[in-house]
Amino acid sequence: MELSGLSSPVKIAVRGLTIDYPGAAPAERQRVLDGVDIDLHDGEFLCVVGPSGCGKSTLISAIAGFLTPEAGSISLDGKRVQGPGADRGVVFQEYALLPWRSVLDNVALGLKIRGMRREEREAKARHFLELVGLADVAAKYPHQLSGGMKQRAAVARTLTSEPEIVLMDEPFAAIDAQNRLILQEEVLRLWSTLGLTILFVTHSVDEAVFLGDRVIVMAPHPGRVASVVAVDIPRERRRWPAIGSDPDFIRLRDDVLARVRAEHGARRQ
Amino acid sequence: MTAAAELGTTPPRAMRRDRWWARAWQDGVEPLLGFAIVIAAWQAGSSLSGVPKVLFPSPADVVWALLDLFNTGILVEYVKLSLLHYLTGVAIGALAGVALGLAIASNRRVSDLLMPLVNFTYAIVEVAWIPLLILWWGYGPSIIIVAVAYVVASPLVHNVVTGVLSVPPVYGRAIRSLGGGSWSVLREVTLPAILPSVFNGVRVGAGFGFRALIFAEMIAQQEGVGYLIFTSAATQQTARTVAGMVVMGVLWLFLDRVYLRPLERASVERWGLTSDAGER
Repeated sequence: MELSGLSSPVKIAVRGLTIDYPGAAPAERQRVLDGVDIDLHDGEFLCVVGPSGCGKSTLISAIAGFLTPEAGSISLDGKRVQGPGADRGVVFQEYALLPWRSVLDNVALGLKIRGMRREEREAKARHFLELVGLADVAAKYPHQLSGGMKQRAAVARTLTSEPEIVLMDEPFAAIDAQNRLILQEEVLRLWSTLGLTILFVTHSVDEAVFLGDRVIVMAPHPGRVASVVAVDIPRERRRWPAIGSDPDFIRLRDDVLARVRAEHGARRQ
Repeated sequence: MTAAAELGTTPPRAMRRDRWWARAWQDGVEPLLGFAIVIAAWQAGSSLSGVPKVLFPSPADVVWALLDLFNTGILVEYVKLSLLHYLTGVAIGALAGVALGLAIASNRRVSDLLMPLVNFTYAIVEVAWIPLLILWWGYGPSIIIVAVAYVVASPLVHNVVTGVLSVPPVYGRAIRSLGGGSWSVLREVTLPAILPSVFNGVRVGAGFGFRALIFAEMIAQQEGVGYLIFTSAATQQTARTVAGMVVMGVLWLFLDRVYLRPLERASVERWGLTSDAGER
């Protein structure tokens, strides 16, 4: 199988990852992830889909280091991950831009934390703002931006720190359908021009098949990997709206959709 | 699509085209009208009722008393001292309240240890402490400052704790994913996020603190506006007592206008009030 990314070394290795959410009482303890194995290759765009309750967002939180696994391990370049760090950038569904800082200051935040001088970090932040098409709103505050622009700014903030991998947790879920398609194309453009490695969680099968080199389908209760689908559609064909009528896209999307539905529970028709 | 097209646009605020005199009436005259009516009724009451001045001085007597206090330099000195003690108390109380609130909110064990104590002391009004403090330190400004600080700090602790607990966790996660530690989270997220609750708490506390100032000055001080009010009545200089009360009111209006309201407005308006993190 000829797939970009798969021949390259493994960047993130998730092995037997098991995560519990503590309930109010010990009996209410819930297993959200159960023995998950995932390889994210260098330069790969890997998507994760699944019905709600399959733990796909938990997977992102665990790799980001926000959660401590019950069992199993996560490693980045062979080194075990412990706690959050700048090597794993995160783009959140709720943007998480600081309301009290301008767009420019938000984007430069990671560099500021690292102790970079003001002129230097602002120059770099401006460069990334330009890359996401936000050069003209650098001085504005987050509440003055639309949802799509907020997410562009959040992506720029993550990229400015030049992380080893980018974790995206349903980043476009709260964005209207038109802007969503544009943002999907832009993320693909950034991924290929900057050579990013991306793990992208979404509940939209279309989005996952459009973006991914591979799509992981997860099953719920407890969350685990159900199957992996390779998306062998050449990158140059991945353009909206043309891709919507591409036979390969339709075939793959229907395939993934059927797998997700099967995990939803056969009784619900 | 251009970035500008995605910008949320706000409609221009409707301009009010009032005449200058209408505006002058609204801003300058109306707020004073209530005062004018009360003063007129007071003047009429004192001159018509025939109650002796010692019990019921007229507004004119009070104005004379004020002029007299001003000419002797007492007024300026007392107002300066009261303001100094008050502002020092508010500053110390605000710092202590924020520090204590942050400590309680940051750590479960500190919270278990301190929260019952904070709640307990909240119930002991500042006036109750004053006799004890006089025993320990004697009369003097330190008691005034402590009383004001105490009153400012105790509601502030609650405000800070609720403020910290209502910060969406996603901000802290974002900072940590950018390589920040606890210090960065405190500096970049927690402190700016609780600023509106701190201002609110300081504003409420400052109101109580002002009463505490006057109380404390009456009981434990030989100078200041509260002392003026108390000692003048004791020596039958009733017009001076009322003059002191007027000064107290004017002082509070001044503090509220000059310090507290602008402070509150500056922070809240600039950030657009709402946080940008959704609920999850």
